[in-house]
Amino acid sequence: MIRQSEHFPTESACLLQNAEAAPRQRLPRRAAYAVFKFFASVKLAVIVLLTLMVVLAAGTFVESYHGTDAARILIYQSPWFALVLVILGMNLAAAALDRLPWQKKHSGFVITHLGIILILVGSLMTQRMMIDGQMVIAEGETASKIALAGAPLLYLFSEDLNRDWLFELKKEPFAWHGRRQIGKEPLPFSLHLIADYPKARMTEEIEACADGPAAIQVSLHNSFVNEKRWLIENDPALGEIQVGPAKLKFAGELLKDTPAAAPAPDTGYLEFQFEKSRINIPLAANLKLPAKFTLNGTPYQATLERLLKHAVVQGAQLMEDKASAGDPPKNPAAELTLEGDGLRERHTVFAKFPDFPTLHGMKPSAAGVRIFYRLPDSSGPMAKSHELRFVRQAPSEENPSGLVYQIKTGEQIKNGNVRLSEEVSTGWMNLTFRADRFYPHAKIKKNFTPEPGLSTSENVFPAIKVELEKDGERREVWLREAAREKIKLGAGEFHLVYGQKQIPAGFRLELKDFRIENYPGTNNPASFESDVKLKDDAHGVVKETTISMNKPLAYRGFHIYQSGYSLQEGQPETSIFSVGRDPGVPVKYLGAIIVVGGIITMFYTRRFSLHSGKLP
Amino acid sequence: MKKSYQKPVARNQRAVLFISLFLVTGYWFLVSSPFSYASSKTSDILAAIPVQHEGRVKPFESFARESVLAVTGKETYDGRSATEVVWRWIAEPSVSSGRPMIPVAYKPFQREFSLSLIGGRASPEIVLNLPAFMDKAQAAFDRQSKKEMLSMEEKKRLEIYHHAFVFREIASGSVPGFIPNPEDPRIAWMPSQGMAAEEGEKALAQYFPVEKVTAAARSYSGLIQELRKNFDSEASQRAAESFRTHLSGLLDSRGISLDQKVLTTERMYNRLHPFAWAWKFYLASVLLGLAMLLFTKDFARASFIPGIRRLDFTPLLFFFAGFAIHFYGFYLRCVVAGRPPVTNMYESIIWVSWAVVLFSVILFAVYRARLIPMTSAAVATLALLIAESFPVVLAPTIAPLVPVLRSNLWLSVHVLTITLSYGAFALAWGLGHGVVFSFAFQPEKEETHRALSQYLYRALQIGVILLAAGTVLGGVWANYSWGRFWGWDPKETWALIALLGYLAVLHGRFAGWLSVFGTAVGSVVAFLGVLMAWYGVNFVLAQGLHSYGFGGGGLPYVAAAVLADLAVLGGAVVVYRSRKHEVGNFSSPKII
Repeated sequence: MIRQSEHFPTESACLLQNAEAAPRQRLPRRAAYAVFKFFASVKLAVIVLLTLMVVLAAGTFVESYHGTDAARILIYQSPWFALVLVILGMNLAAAALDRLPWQKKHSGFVITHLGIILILVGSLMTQRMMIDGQMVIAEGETASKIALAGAPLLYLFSEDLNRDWLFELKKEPFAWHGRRQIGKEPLPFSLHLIADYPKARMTEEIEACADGPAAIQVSLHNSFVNEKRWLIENDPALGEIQVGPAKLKFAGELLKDTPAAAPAPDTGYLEFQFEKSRINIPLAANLKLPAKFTLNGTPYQATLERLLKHAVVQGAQLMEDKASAGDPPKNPAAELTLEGDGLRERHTVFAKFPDFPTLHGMKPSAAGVRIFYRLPDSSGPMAKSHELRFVRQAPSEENPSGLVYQIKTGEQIKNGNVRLSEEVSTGWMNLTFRADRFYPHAKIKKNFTPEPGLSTSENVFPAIKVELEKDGERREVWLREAAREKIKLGAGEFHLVYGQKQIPAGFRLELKDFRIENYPGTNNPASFESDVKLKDDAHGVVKETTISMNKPLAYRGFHIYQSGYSLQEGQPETSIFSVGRDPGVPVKYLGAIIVVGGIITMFYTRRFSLHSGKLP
Repeated sequence: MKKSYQKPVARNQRAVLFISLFLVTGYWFLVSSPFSYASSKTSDILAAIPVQHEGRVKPFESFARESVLAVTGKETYDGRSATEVVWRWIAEPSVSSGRPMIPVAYKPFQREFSLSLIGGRASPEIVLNLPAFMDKAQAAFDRQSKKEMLSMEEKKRLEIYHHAFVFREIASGSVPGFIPNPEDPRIAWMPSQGMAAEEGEKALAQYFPVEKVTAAARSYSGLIQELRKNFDSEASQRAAESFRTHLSGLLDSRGISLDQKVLTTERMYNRLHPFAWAWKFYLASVLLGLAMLLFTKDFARASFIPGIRRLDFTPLLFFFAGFAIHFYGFYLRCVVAGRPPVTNMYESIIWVSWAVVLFSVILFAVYRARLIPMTSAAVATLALLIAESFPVVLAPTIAPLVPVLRSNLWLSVHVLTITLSYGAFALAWGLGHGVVFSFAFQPEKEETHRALSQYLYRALQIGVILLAAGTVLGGVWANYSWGRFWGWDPKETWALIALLGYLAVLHGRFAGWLSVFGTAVGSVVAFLGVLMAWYGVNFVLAQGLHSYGFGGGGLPYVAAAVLADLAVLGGAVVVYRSRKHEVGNFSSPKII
């Protein structure tokens, strides 16, 4: 019953058939007709469909094992995948044209094929004309450039030549090693790519060298803590670190022994957590109430009115419980007033219930502050100002390294000379420290190791290694994404940055406020949104609006979406917007509507019988 | 036509057989009632108390069920109701923390826990106090919070730690929340911990009249004492009642009103077990239908028992009862969740199996062939059984949505369309089996084949329309929410692959490469694409933006089921081929 051979009709078979159909036509026309018939064949459709299925399935597995970027580079954006889609498009078009002149029974099928072709055209437009990037904006800041995804760049600036260069790099699917020249035109230097890790883990190592700041490695040990840390003299990042309840510091000068004004027992402190800052106000035992404090860096001042040791509520009043007395306090509470900036709020803070809202009968503070009453035994960073400080002094006979330590416990300071491998007790929570290594001059050496494409670790970044050669001198350097590196080569200096290509957005976007709303009683975000102000200088437009998940801002063809956020301690809240412009979308939408319409038409008009395999 | 298939069995004999079958089914319904666990009056009272947990206010019973599942990995523990189990944890934390309730199935840990395992389970006390275990769990937790990739061992370790953690939270009285903050409904409710301690009482007195607070706290401690003595005593019942009254009195004193209707609906949903009932009805209708088939040889024609027409409708009666209760359960879940419940695997199986039945009802209305509802009832039974049998993997908990899904319109339109198409394809999968078996085992019935294959074609068409539309709508949603129409995300790619698979089968038929038998085989095999898009992406590939639905587990079962299905199909193909050689001259099919 099968009409043709079971094999796929080869071109010659088609030729033969068509030769019968049109014997008098000349060869080129016949060949063209054969090619057309080949593309119009349903069998080609089946083969293309099966091919697509296999390729796409492979793509999802590549993505599952090696990450999204690898799948895109290897499959979805590869030229041969585009070729399969082009064949599909030709197949669809030829199959429709082959049925000319169309009858009513063809309508569904023709409409559907037209729709799919439109979707393919839309995808082509997307691939050619789409802008897809990100704007990362911290609260209060304005951005006007879009960082394009998947367009890595190398920026190079030479100080002595006072010139800069930009090189576009290829995105690699996997970690790559080799030697590839960067830049085609003649350059006053030669530049090679040595390694390219789409995902690299950076580890830092401290090593001794000829010049540079001093460094010390300290081990800290008690039943909770067991760690080794490096401290570098006056270093912005590694000069001062917080370990547990204490501060570790390698400073240029000694702690001054400030005579304690009142060595009274510590009664704790009040902690004010504002959106961007945290202020601690110690409460001396002999504090006279009411006491006024200015909260530096904010427009507010606080007046502490009452401190209660054993607070109870009687009637609607907070009182000291007369039945309890002495120590320890049963329910310590503080009553205070926050004033300033046209606002006056009365807060009641319970030390043992830090999660209770402190405002009575009102919504959360209009000042955006959370207030805590920390007791002396609670181990906040300010509970007692513990500090372990190292200072380098002139070497002497009994202390050849010149390194001394200072342990500050509250107001007391204990000094000593640092000897390597000697355990010293700090006197806080059984914590001991030991200086393991000391380098008079040290530098940080960065190591990069490739990570699997699936890695989502926060410590993993794209990184490349380049080799720069000038006047016979050669240097290799690792470049982490978005981190500037400086290298000396011969007489001059080079600055290098490995980053994303950025294009001007054509507008400025200011992030005024970023908010997260959680599901009640949990830390799971229910929604997050950003208040933004868009300014277009060329068109004289100012727009203020709120962007949230599922509620983008559309402006002149751009769609600005809330795609993420970043909250890090000590840094302002940062919103991540994805910014895109895709001229293919309307075409794809149109195609999609037509496809669905076509299939529905087919449902009604096409009286196909699966059993006989024929259209009646 | 009917008469030609009638077997020479006496009419009254058939009736007796049928009625006894009917009675057996009825008995089985009664004994398998969902109220089979021992439920005491005390726990009935306590079950209704509203609590806040994981971002939602729910009856204590729902919280208890989720917690028992989260701690023990089973739906019931000790043969007691979940409410009772959890209240015993609260009342006697130290006793219960010594009981082996945490499943330790992972081999390397069985060595680590060695002797302290009882029946493959460890007690929360042991898990939380084993330094070797906890140190590594802490390290794994640190790595997780830095978004490092975790090894299998680390994942399993955190899983066990999570079991113990949930228990500790409950036993220490930190969850669930019983008392809302009258000033700010966004804040976590105050847990029982607060009522047990004097300080908590004092803090509460800031918000509520002091005498109400004292009364509530006293009734709470009274309840705990009674529960310790005897859970089921009348004194316990009175204490439970008093606690419930005082708690709601506390809330009333500040005018806090909770939506009682939703809470009652949720209680009803919990009690009714609508989906367990639905599959029983479906199964009963399939069994009755099959029993009737014993008396007639026709696979597709209308009347099952010629002569006893009055009983003909019984399978359909069960079928429509199942359909109705299935829908009612779905409606209840919608009311409780406040959204269309299609955001996790459990909910989507419930919905898809309902869609299977829905489409079969539509096709039944058009073609009047009872085989269609019987097929769909079989498919729905299978799906619902799976949904009800793997609570740990499929998570029947009603949970709040992640932000990206909080756009009800798009969520509903896109996801419902896609899952409806899965339903149509699942029906096609069932009908495909029907066609294959019909060809293999009754090759002479050309009429039947013609009818069956037409139903199959219609089911395929419905599926193709819905999957194409749903995939496109997904693109619309993605464009709206993520800023791109198509991003080769695994979920959308697999939806496309599934669609291409069915198109390939249909075009294979158009091209004459597939016979009608081959098309039926093809539409069964093409369902693998749907399975992959539906289950595989979340549970096998587990990559990409659709990660909110991701879970793990069950792969060996799914793989075994798929292979078994393919083996049966292969067997039918072999039978069909051999028969074709035997018979030789029956007309219909072209070569596969």
